Amino acid sequence: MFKTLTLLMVFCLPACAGPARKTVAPQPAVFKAFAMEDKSFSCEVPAAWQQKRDLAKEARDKTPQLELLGPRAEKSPVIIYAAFYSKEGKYFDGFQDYIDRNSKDSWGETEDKYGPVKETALGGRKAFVFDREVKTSINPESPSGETVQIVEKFYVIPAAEGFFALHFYAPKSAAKKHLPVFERLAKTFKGKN
Amino acid sequence: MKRINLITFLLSLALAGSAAAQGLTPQETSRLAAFEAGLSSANPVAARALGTDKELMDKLTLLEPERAAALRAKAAALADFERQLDKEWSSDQTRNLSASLALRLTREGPLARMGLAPQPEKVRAWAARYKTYSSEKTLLIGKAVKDWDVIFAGFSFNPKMQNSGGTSYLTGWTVKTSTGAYFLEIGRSDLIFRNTAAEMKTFWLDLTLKERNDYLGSKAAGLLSGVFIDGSTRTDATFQRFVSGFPAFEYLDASGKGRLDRYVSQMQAAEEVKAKLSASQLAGLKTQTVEQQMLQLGSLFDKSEAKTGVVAERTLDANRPSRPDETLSAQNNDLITGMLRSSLVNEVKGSAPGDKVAAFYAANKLELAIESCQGCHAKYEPSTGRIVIDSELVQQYLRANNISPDALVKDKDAMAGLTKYVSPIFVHEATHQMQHKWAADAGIYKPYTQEDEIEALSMEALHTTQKKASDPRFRSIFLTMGKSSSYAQQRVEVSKRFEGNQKEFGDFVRQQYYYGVPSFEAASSEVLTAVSAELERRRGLGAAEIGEIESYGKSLSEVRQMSAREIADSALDIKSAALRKIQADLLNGSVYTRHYAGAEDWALSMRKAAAKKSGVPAV
Repeated sequence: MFKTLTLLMVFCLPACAGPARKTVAPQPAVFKAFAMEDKSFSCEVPAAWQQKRDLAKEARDKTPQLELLGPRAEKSPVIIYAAFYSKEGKYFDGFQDYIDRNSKDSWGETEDKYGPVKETALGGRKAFVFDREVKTSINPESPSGETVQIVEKFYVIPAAEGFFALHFYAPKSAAKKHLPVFERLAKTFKGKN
Repeated sequence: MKRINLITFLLSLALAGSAAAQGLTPQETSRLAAFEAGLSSANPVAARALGTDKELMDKLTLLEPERAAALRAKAAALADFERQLDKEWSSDQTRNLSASLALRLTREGPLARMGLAPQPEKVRAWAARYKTYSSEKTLLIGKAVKDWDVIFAGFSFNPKMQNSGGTSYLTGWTVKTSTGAYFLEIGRSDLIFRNTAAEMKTFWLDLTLKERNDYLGSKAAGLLSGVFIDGSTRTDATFQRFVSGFPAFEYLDASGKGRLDRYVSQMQAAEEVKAKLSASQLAGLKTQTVEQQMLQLGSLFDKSEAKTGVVAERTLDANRPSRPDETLSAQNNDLITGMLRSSLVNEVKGSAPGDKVAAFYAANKLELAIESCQGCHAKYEPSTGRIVIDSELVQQYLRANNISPDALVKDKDAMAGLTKYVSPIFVHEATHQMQHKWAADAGIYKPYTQEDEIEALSMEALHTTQKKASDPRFRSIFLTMGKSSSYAQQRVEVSKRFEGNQKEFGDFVRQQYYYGVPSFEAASSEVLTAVSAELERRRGLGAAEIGEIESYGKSLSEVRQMSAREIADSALDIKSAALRKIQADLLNGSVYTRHYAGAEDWALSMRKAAAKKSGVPAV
């Protein structure tokens, strides 16, 4: 009896439409200058985003990296990484290794989409650009399997002593809004030769 | 370089020691008083200023170590709280913010000692005083702390009356949203039930955020199970949208949200298959709940009455519940557990992490169990020393591959397939067991942190990557199961992310996968705050009270099994020696950070070594 009554109440009443949401015009992002202490690179960064550095790790692996965190969306972060990978670094055997490992589906046959690698120029220097769209879990240990579609874009800039990598990561629903921030950072990016 | 650092450090200690011998100057005493006054009202400016006054804090550490530790810990807890609140939280992140705040806004926690808890509304007052958040963010915080006036804004409380013997009784309240939609029912036996809405609100104000979340979460979970999963027969797209947007489900906890997601997935899978069935086949499903429909649709496949394709069948089989003949009996469970215990250790060999795990179990006993994991694929239980594999994970694999438990125990090849399938999560959980063993051997307390998961996921990912390259069947199983099983998809996804960039992997794991888990820095500061404050409090206690704690309080061995949150919440009931040991452990944070850094470097070197050995790029 209880169940029947509850069912009637739950299903027969109007669904919650909620009050109409106000739309707020997006504010243009404010930028400020950023430069690595070791002068490996500089660029303009969004002033409102959180800047993160792991100085102990950078000292250990000799790989300066700036992590920028934007407003989260769909339970996921919006991130920009800017890093310099030296020839003696631990992570990649040169820029081609970086491109190979990030521009192709290493498993094949999955639904992730990888765009072609194209040659381009950044700040008058030769660079490579590619993007990908991948399905990503909210929690990889949860049987619920909740996922979010992630859009990523990469710039790779070869240099005499290694290479620079700029990496944009955002949920698809927020990618369009934040991609211009990444492009501005890329356009103002200056790395040592 | 190291020697120069050491000399500089010793010199600074000597200088501080020399200054300390003279006690605090009047100016320092005044600054210290300002810090203490500021922190007692949770002033973030005071916390930041304290962080920069290294000279004073070094001196205080030598003069009054517990007072210094308590101050540092308070400042760290406040900084952590401020960071949490400052983050950009989107509206769909309210549940995460709420869970994160619930961990911190406890009755006995460090924030309570600064007047920021337990009443969750204090967060809004604090934000109004010290922050300039937008109106959207202020509203989101109100929702996250379950402020009565925010979550029930515009809602109506409709009395439910019952007549008995001519007398009318109030039996409950039906709560409706501002648009008149059903929200939930507050029954007489409910914790918050009172005769008026105003009385309920008064009671609500005294609940902690965890209690509020638990109440709303359990009400929403009751509706999900009773009314929808076990009470409804609809699976159509309109109904799926109705369920997904049902107002009360906003308050489901993580496991309830998991059930909701699974329910919606089941409806989607059922709809996909039902679109291809005949009218007579559909007629038999009309009065059945979704789980019953999934079982019946599974039977249709088994009898080859439906021609809907292999992928659809796998999806259906993976999502439906097990039939009685597919459920693990106690006898089969024992047999399969025993077989997996030996086959898993052999299977993982050959990958760098697997060899490490196998070496660990050569010297330590592996206790394995197949049980319901309650919202996880597997877990390591420190209290029992067992690794529990989720029974549903095993049954799902068997269903999707048309293997019955009876057949599995007689079929070595099928068992080999299951072993390969389970091996990545086994490596993950074995890493957690090794972390606990490391802490036990080092004689230190280890809180559960993001760093633990970064190490475990790195081990798992490296194992998956190396097995994928060396074992075609392993690769094939994950690609095939990946089309219908979230477990397989997740393992592939994690390995791809790890292969792509190990430099970013740890940061990515913190931000994407384990955002709600505290970092080592946050967890240790929470424990240090609570422990230091409690040791300070005990200085003023009488012998009888101290004697009672020392007689009946929790011992160090019990405390070592507790999470950071549990210690912070129950510091009052822990023996002083245990508190001092935990404090000493965590104040020496470099022991932990060196361990985590070592684990990261090891995974990196193993991936590179394997890539060079194979002579092909690491991809």
